[in-house]
Amino acid sequence: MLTDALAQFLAVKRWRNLFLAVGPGEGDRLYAEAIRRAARKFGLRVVADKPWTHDPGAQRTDTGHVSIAAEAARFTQGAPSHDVLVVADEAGFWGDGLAWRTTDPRPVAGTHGLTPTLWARPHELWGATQLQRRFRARANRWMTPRDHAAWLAVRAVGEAATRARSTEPAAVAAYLRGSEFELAGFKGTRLSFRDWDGQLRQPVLLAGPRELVSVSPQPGFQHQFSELDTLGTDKPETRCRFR
Amino acid sequence: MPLPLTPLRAAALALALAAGPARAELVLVSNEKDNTVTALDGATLRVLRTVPVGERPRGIALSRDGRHLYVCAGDSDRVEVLDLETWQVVRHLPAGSDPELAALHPDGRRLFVANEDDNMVTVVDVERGVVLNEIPVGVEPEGMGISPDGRYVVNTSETTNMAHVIEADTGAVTANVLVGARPRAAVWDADGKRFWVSAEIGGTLTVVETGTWRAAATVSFAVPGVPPEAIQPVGMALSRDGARLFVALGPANRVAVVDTRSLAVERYLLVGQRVWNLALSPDGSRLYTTNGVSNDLSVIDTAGLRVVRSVPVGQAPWGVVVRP
Repeated sequence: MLTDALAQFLAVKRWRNLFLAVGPGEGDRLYAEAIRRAARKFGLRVVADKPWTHDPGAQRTDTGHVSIAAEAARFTQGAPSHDVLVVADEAGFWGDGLAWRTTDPRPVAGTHGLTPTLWARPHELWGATQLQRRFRARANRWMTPRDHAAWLAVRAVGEAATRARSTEPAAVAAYLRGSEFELAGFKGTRLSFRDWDGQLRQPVLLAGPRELVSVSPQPGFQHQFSELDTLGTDKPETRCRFR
Repeated sequence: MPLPLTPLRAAALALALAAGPARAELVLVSNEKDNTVTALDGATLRVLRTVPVGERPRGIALSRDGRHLYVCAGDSDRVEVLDLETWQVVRHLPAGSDPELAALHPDGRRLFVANEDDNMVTVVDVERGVVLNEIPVGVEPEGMGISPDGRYVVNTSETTNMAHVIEADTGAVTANVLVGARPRAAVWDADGKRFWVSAEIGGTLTVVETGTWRAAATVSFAVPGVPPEAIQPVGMALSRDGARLFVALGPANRVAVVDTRSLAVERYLLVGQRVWNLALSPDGSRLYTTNGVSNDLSVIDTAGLRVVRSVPVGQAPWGVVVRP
């Protein structure tokens, strides 16, 4: 879902040629695979696909910045012509080191740079300011995507209980999965659960550290039932089976 | 300090009105991003002036004599009193934290203010400038609708998804009515027998009966070519005869016209982008809409149900009221 959101944005920008930099972790491998899949789905091309192997070591002290600058320049030198460098670095070890250090001046996206995410600090649309303020007042820190997911989960149960007028787990669960269920989550639209895999249908933010850049689904990506289902695994493609 | 409207001053005002040229209505718009209020001449639709006010002005309400405008300046945590003769902010009213929307009681003294980030409704005495009461309600209070007899105040809470019916005199919450997701505005029929609540995320209106406080009916919308998620009912206004309810549909960029008897949707009128709030002209012939994304005001001819003009105002126009 996240990488689809990014791919839609890149397709709208016509930044179609991607240079994919993949870290050594298992999460990085999966993220990269999702990027490749999203690229196929939205008509983008991965023109370069390279593993990042350099260990940045003590990059914040002494002359570390020199070493990562040299490595980033070497890593991107001689690459086929590309529009954007897409980084898969789930653990955040080296992804921040690539922006501004590439050989060709190219924007960075993926796990770093322009990041598809379910929640972000600069998100203030659709009343999100209120939720950000309430969370900060309680927790003395900014709300992370994981915090927001937890809040949504609790809120979904509360919403289902008030609408079903029941606290019986079976009744609440049935309402949660039913077609009537809709959730307000400060995303500008009603959210609901997909009946094929239980995933929450929701818009995905595209944000940098200080700026909300865009929100996917991008206008123009149409769908027979819900434009939100242009993100993630749709019903005809799913291999998920509820038991 | 606002001066009380003494008989002498009232007479002077009446004389000034009679002596001047035929006065057109004054349209007042709060611009959320600009921290200003725009004043337009209703006859020419020209901008007369743009007045700086506090931060993030949203809800606006007129004083009973029409001399002052109460402006909810949310990020300044106060309600400002704008003098519509001198165009100066003459006073600040204490109104609790983050006031978003305010409604004046028919007694002309009590202003009911929704405190968006504080889960309160604050009752302010506009003459003495003191807080009379603080009423705890649901999460993110928003809409305020006062019954025509002044007995009840309905407040909607956006995150609790309820309309809270409050007794105006005691501040006691009489009923909590579950409505559609993210309720926004609350508007009463002129006879006080029912009120309407718009639900932005639910995409519906709920009609609530007075007394039983039961959700008696819901109204849904469908616009060809517009995704259902984009239909987000927000501001509402009744026609002068009460036969029609106009409903702003937010990012659907439409105003729906609802028959208040049959509850059928008669028409969808294309206006500016992200239409927020609505106000009827005193003679009922025109409806003004604030369009938050296209930064303009649409003008609807209510007899022909046609959009006749659009007028640029400030950034992110939010509230609108019309003074005769």
